[in-house]
Amino acid sequence: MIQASDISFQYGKRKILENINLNLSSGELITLLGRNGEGKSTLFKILTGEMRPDSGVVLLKKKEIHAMTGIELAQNRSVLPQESLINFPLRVFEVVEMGRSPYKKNKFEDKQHIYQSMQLTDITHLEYRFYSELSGGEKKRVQIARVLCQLQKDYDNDIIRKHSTKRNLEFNKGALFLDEPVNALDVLLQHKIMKILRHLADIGYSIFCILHDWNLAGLYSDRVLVLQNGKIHSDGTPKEVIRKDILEDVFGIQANIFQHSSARVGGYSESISL
Amino acid sequence: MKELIFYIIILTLLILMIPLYLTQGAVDIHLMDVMGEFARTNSESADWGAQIFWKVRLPRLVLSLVCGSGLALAGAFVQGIFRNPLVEPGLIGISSGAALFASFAIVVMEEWINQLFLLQIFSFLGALFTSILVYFLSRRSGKISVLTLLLMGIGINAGIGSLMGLMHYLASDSQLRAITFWGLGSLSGASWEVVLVIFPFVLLLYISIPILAKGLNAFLLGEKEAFHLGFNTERLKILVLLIVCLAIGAIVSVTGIIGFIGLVVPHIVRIWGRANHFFLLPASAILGGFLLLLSDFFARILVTPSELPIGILTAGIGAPLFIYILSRRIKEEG
Repeated sequence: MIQASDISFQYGKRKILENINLNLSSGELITLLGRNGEGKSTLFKILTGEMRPDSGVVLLKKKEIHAMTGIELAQNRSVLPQESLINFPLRVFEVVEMGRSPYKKNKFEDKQHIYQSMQLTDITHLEYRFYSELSGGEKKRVQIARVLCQLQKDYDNDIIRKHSTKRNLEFNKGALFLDEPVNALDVLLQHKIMKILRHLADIGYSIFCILHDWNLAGLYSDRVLVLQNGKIHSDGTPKEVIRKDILEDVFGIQANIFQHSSARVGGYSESISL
Repeated sequence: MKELIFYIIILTLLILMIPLYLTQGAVDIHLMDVMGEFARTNSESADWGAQIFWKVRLPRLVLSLVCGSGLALAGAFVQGIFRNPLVEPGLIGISSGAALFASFAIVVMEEWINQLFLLQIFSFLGALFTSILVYFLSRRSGKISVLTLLLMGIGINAGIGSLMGLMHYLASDSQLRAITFWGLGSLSGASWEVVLVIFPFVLLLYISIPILAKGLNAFLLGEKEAFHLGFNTERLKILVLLIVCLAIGAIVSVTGIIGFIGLVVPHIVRIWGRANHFFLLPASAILGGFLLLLSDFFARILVTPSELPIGILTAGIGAPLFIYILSRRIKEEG
């Protein structure tokens, strides 16, 4: 889905990113971890097409992203920035409906996509509420519904019905980029959001998100990337990456690692206690 | 449904207002006299009434509708781009630039002021000059930051304030009075020629409604979000600034500064509960036209046979309304 090769970026003389290579396949959930100021956001912006790298290329569905038109890009990848402030009275369905803007208007299809996205993120009961009146967790889910709605193609309906249980790699469903989707949420909501993302990956979306919580990363992702000093420090399954020595190397802290009791099927979850 | 009710209410009020506006004033006109032109009663007063009707009242009615809708639309566009409901076109220096150039014309070129629309041309140039200045000052590596634009606007406005002070200082008493009157706005310059000159600029705003509404809706979520949704945000910002500058420049050059319409009208529409630009923009245009017509009606009849500067009325109604809206917001946010 996404292939980035040899990405380098610098501000003036300060090197932010150096020779980053990464691959995000369909139906995969990757989390990007690392300390603040290690280049996570810059990498995120480059992968989403917001910024151009000094060298290297990012391919989306085998096409260079800066060669794509804005619309083409928007139909294949959607982005949820860290915070979303809306100063105007918009209702929940209007916010989700914005996800349809890269497409030709089609009232009937649009309605289905909007409803489906709201169902997947469990916000159908909020449809007519004003966005500004919602709680933090609800707002996040509305925004996720919006970026999800942006990737829905007209053939999606059948696919979701047929393959909702097992991961289906051959359907290129588009990539979701989320910058710290769980910050400022309570523990329960963090898990709720991550479960939604996990489900989306299971039905074929590619998901790339920045997290700060290693527990969540371990529980829900397929692959974990750790960024340090603008380079990929480690890249692998949670089991390979969430290790005592790596945590110590990156954060300089002593951590004990416990296997999580409710690791998801086929999963490899770890839990950290300090 | 709610939208439809809004349109029906405003359009009904507007239709009721039009005959009232046309007949009342320094000279009361009987519509029968005007309509009865073919079966002329030959009375001199009827002829006189018809003259005023066709050459003064009617163009003024059209002018106030065009200017009101233009001001309100420009306000709605700018608020959308700045993602801030408390912004109006004047904040990026458009009106103050026009005012400065107009007072310059009044003070320095007094003899020629009434020829060749000199005052109008100067204020139009002033509006364009300052907005271009603000635009280029806010540009960094090909991009304009909306926040910088706003701050630059404040800076430029402050600078112009000082130059305006200088103009006031240099002006004679009668010039000073002319400057003040210009700054308060008036539609008394109305004529068919003026309407024809302004209309194409305001038409630009009308035409842009269906083209830009979708992008402006995405802007409500945030500039970055709009970009990620596939919109060319730089082009959208430039287009909006361009059409707003041209339209406001043209309007201000004829009417002087008419405050608060651009700020308050989109606000009232939003209180109706819809921020969607496919409704907000046309609704603002209609409501703006109606409110300016109403204000001008009172400006003409309150102190007949003289008339009040219209800015006194729009600000007089607009300011309390604005304070009310703000305090309600503060209350809501606790």
